[in-house]
Amino acid sequence: MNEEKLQKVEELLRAERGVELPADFKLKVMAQVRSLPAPELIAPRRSWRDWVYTLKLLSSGEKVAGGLIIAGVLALLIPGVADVLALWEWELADLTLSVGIGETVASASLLSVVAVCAAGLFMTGVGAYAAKHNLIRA
Amino acid sequence: MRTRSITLGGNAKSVERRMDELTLCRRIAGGESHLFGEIIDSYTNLAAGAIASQGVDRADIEDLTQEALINVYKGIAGFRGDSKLSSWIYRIALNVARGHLKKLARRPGQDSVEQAMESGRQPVDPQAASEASTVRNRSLAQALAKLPDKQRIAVSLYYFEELSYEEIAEAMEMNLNTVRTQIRRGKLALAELLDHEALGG
Repeated sequence: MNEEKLQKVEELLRAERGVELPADFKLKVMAQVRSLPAPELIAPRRSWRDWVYTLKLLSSGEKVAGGLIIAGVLALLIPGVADVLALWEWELADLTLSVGIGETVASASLLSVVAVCAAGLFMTGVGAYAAKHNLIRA
Repeated sequence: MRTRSITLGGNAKSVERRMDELTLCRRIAGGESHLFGEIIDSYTNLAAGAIASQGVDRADIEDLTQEALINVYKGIAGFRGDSKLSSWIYRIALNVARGHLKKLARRPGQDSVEQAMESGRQPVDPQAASEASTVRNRSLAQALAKLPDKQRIAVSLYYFEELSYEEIAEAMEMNLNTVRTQIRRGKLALAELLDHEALGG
C-alpha cells in the first residue's frame, strides 16, 4: 500500500467533522428527563433475558416445583395429558399434582400457586400504575 | 457541541471509575435527575457518533440521540456495572439507530441502506449510503459504507467524534490493539476503495 495514499486518506478523514448538535441539546434532554419519574420507579421492560436471569436465581428445588406446576397446568388444560402422567404414576387430584419419584412423592397445590401468582401480578400492576402516574416519590 | 469524557489509565483507576459511574447511576436512579447532565456531557458524542456510523440520515441524528439518552435515563436503574457505562450507552445508541433503520425499511419505498444495515450491517448500495450519511464528502461516504461494521464505527468515532483509542476500546468492548487494528484496516480499505480523484491526486 502506498504510504502517500494512506496519508491522503488520513487527511480526508481529519477534514470531516463529527455530528453537530444544537447548543440547547442538553437543555432539551434535561427538560424531558425532568418530566419523567425517577428511573427506579419506571417499570423495567420484560424481555427473555429477564426470564433467563430469574431462572438463574432459582434454586434446583424451585425449578423442580416450577416444572411440576407447569406440568399440572398442562394436565388441566390439555385433554389426555392426565392419562399420560398417570402412566408415570403422576396423579392430578383436588388441584394438587402428586409426582412419584421412586420412594418419594412430591406434590404441588395448583390453587395456592395460582393465588400467589395472582397476588404477585396484582402487586406488580399497582407498582407499575403508581410509577407511571408518579404517585410514589423516592 | 463538543463534549469529552474523562479517561483514566490502569486497573485501579478503572475500578475506581466504575465505582464512581455506578454511584452516579444509583443516585440518578434514586431521583437526583439533575445529575443526568453529567452523563449527557460525557457521552453525547459517543451516542451521536454511534448513531451516525449506522448511516442514519443527518436530519434524524439529533432526535435519535435524544431518544437514546432518554432510554439511558429510563433504564439506568437496571445498570449494574457489569460493563462500562460507555459501553452500555453505546449499545443503547446502536439499538436505537438500528431500530430506526428497521422501521424505515418496513415502509414502502424505502430500501438500500436501511435494509442492508438490518441484515448485514453493510449497505450494498453505496450511492444510497452517501445520501443518508453525515459525511459531506460523497466519495468518502460511499467508501465508508462499504467497510465492515466494526471498522466503520471505529473510524467514525476516532476521526469524526474525536474519541480516543481508550474511549473507543471501552465503548466497543475491545482491547486497545484491536481498536488500532480496526482503524488501520479501515484506512487501508478506504485507500483501496477511494479513487485517485477522490484523494485529490
